[in-house]
Amino acid sequence: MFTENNAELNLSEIIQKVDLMEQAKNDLPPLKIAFLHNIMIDPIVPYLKFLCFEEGFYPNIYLGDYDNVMQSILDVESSFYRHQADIVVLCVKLENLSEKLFQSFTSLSVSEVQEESDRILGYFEQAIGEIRKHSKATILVHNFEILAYPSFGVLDYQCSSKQINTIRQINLKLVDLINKYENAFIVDLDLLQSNVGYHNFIDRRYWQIGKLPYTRQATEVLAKEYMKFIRARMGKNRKCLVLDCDNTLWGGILGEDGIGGIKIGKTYPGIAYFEFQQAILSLYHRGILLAICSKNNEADVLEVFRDHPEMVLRENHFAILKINWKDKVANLKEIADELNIGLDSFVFMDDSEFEANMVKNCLPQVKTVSLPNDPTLYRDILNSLGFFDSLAFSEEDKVRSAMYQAEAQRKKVKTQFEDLDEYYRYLEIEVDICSADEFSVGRIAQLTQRTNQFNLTTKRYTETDIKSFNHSPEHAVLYLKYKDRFGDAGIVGVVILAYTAEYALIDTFLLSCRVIGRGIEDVLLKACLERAKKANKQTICGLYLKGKKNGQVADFYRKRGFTLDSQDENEAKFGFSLEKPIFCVPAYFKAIRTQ
Amino acid sequence: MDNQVKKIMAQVFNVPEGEITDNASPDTISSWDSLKHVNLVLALEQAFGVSFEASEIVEMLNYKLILLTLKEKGVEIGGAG
Repeated sequence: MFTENNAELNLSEIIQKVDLMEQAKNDLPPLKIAFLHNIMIDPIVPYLKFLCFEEGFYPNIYLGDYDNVMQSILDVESSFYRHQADIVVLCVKLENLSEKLFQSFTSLSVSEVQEESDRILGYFEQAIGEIRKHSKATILVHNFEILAYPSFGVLDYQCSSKQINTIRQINLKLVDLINKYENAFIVDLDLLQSNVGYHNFIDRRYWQIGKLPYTRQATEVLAKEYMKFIRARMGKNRKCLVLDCDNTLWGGILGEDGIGGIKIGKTYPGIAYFEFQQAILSLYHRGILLAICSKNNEADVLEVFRDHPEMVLRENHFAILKINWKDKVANLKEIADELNIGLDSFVFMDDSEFEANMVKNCLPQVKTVSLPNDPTLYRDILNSLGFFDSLAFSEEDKVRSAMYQAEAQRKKVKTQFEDLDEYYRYLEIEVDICSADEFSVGRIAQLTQRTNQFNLTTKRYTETDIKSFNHSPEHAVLYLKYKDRFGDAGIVGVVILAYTAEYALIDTFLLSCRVIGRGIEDVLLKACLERAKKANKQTICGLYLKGKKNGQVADFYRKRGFTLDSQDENEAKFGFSLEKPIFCVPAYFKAIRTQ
Repeated sequence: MDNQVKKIMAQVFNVPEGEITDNASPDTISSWDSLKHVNLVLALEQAFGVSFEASEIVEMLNYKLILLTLKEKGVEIGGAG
């Protein structure tokens, strides 16, 4: 079930659907969202609930008392804290927070304006700081929409300290402020208002009747914007964009029009596709994987990617190209297999309603976007989706596609070797195992959140958690870097050890699926044992916690000489005496360096 | 047209459509509070493509007044019932 990107939601229908879904029994994981607001925000509830259900969560929404923001935040016994939200939204509107800046600006002196700005920023500093003290929730903070009609008229925006620019500066300072806190983000109301227009955003009628500032349209837009944060926070942001070619990446049908006849370029009509390709390339640089799924002759399409002078996208931008006459559902499944990511990570765009509908029906977990007839709209449609939005951007994201291509290379070459050890030797694998440092904590945390298969305990940690493990004398955090002749995969393995007086516990042991099956797991485990031995522990305990996708590692420790100490249906504990000799790792590695 | 109004009211108030009588008002429908009223008005505006004035919003507090207000906006209403 997927709401077409910007299609308007029918309010009465979604109210009914939400009521039905709330009454039905289901086992959707709960998602708690709390609103602290100084304006009435109730109309957003049906939209937000509907979108949460659509994304597979059972929403539990708390609305604080009207204009009771700071009171709720300062009272640790408040119903706000008792709700224990996963997401906290701070909806403070300037009109209610500062009548001075909003209504009376022309009567203020320069120092009064400064004072009021400082008071506002102090208010947010206190609010966010206090929430963070008592809650680990993701905090979303509304910034301020600028006024449609500034106090000093056209003179106002000539000056950086008059009304419009004062508000803009407060907004910029809010950005600096939230960056001081983990897991806190701005929701840019000013940008949203700019997208739909002031008269479509602010509803003076409802504001005057009951302090409800936003139009129905604005409420819907707001709910959709919150969902971008929620998806990213819950790991539901998408990672791969799969594209058709004909009438999607270029105008026309390659097989009929030939490479000279397709429309792609800087002038009309090819410019629509040119701009669309630029937007897609921008996603590539954000770390989103690109793939092609097209019914065409492979040689023809490759010729376009390689030789057409006006193309923005080239062959090397795509992790996989499925250009054949098979059905797209089968192709999409193969792409998912080869990239080793779930179909629920995909967004598929095709101009053909037939193809789009088939994929929608057969693979509902894929977000399918059926492109309209007018290609002028393509770029904005892509940019408006928000399905790829993530809350972090790492070095690894930048080079992700290159890494997937290197993997494709490895697979191709493997077929040339009869002996696996020969192949591994050929790869010239270099492994580095290091203690975590400030540069690696982000990637380490990311791996604990994303790795599902080769993950012994599936414990999810934030950057803050990793930092505190790193600083604790009772823990050790190690990461593993992998490099071979085809490329540098960066950090792909993580170990977290927890020490007691006598033994070391392997709290976390994971490897990215990219490097499974080359003996890397043995290298990492050996480093674990050596580290525990260095810490003067006599025993090391391996823990297996059953997760949704990690069945393959249930007997990982047992296979490496650990003894089973205890077991029930959800977990197993294994022990290994460090007085025993530590096993050897395969000899085909070019280099193993442990720090 | 009044069937569409009753349908929307049923959806917003989470009651079977048959419970929306011609006398429907906050007195007969217990879930019809001020917040539900806002949702109702927003839904009616969306469905009929009209825009109510503030005074109309606060006054259209029963089914008959809703029909009347819509009629004033040029929205055709069917027979009663």
